Amino acid sequence: MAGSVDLGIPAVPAAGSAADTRQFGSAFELAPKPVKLVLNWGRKYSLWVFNFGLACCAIEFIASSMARHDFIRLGVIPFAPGPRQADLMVVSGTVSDKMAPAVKRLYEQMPEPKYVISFGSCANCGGPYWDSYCVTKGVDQLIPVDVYVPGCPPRPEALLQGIVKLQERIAREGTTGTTGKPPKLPRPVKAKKPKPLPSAPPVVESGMEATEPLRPVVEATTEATTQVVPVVEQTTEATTQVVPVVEPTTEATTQVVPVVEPELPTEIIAPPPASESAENAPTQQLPVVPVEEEVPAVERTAELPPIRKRPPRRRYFRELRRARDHGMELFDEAVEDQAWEHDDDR
Amino acid sequence: MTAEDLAVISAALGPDVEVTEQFGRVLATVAAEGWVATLTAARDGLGADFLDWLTGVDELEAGYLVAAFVVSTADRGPGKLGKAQGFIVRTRIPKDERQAARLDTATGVYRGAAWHERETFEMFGIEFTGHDGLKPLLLPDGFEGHPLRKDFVLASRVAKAWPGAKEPGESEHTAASPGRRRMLPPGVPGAEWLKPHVPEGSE
Repeated sequence: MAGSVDLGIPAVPAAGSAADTRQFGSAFELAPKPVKLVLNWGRKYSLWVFNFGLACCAIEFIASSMARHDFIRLGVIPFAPGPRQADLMVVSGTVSDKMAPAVKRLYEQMPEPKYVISFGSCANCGGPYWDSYCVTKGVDQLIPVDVYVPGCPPRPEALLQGIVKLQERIAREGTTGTTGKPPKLPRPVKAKKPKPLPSAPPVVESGMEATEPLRPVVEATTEATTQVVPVVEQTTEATTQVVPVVEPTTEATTQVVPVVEPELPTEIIAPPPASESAENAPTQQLPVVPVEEEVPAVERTAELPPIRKRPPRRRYFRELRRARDHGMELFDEAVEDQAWEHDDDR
Repeated sequence: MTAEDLAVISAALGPDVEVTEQFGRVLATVAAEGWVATLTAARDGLGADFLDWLTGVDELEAGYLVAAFVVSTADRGPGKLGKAQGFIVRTRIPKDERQAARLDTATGVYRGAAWHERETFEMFGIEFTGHDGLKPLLLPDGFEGHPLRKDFVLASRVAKAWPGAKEPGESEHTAASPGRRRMLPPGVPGAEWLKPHVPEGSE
């Protein structure tokens, strides 16, 4: 019984520690954002993958590495010589408690930054063996997982989708503040001096500008939670018409500088529950920003909308059609020949 | 197998062995005392030189049933087994109050039974006397309990209810038809597992 290695008993990592423990090296951390984008671009298209195939899902992994699905076109390179040369580990199959120390050990041998795709129901949560006495209920109890691919087993297309998701995640790394430094909050609105009040008729040109960002967007609240401008709390209920003027600053955030016109009560934009101080609220205490209104402005500058370009017209459809027609002609000829032969028989 | 084959096996194994046929498979049932002797007779008298598998079954109050499938790898001629002919030798052993049981080892007859007996030992807790190196084979280090016993409680089923309907009438898709004896699948904990946890020394 020589050669038995004590692999130890794995411990469960703390929840949410996946992104915190990822290390990119000091050069990446100190690099400016464009360089980070380039580095991420390079990294996401050269994922040397280490297949931890433990059960039947590994067959699907192999299928997606072969010619029909071919994830090498996505930059995923199979057949890494070992975990020390790999960037991505795909755990495909049932992780048993006896195998768990080896999974953790090989994951720890991979160099940083490293990524894990949990492929299949067994690796996600135990799958059909959810009540087994010996199956680990999900590989995320051992190692941090970046992308889960559901299915029993998943199709190879599902793995491709998971790889694309992981690449999107890699592309965002280090640039959105998910690693290392906390996200940079915009300066509080108080720090800026408000613009002088306009004269008695309401300002037409600023109102024209403000029409678009005034539209409240409900679904964007999750996107903007990290970048909400701190709101001054003395929100008056009525008698305020908020005319924000959007000024993009140099740090890619925006500050909404509203101008209050106290004379024209038009509409209630953000009714706070406590409205006792509505009447005596000072109208000169200016930055009054309802939360819903700044969301579109912040979001518009935080993340550019995707540019929708028409894909270039592809030529090979026509060539495929020609090839098919040629094949059908050959087939028809063959059928005709056979029909003649049958006629001869008769 | 034909009736002549049954007679041949029964004659070779002796009068203490009850030879029957079930689902096309010959079963040789023997008392626990004649376990090793029957296996020896199967190997020497019938030419069953290959032990395919050996395992156990938890039969609750009836004890454990240990079964082994022995096969012949060649045609042994008249009065013996033909090629790839085999039969199951089985015995039933009682449990003691700790649900444990013991049986003589078959490693003296078939060397290949060693790992099967190690697995049966860790899955059922059956001790094979005379087996050297009876230590866990497949279970992870530090595993407590014998998971194939029917009284082994699966921790996941303590934490999560059994999905689906166990009894007629439990499903919301069928009409309620209560009145049957409630039963639990093996491994599902009873009500005593659902008590709140009381730390030791609190009372």
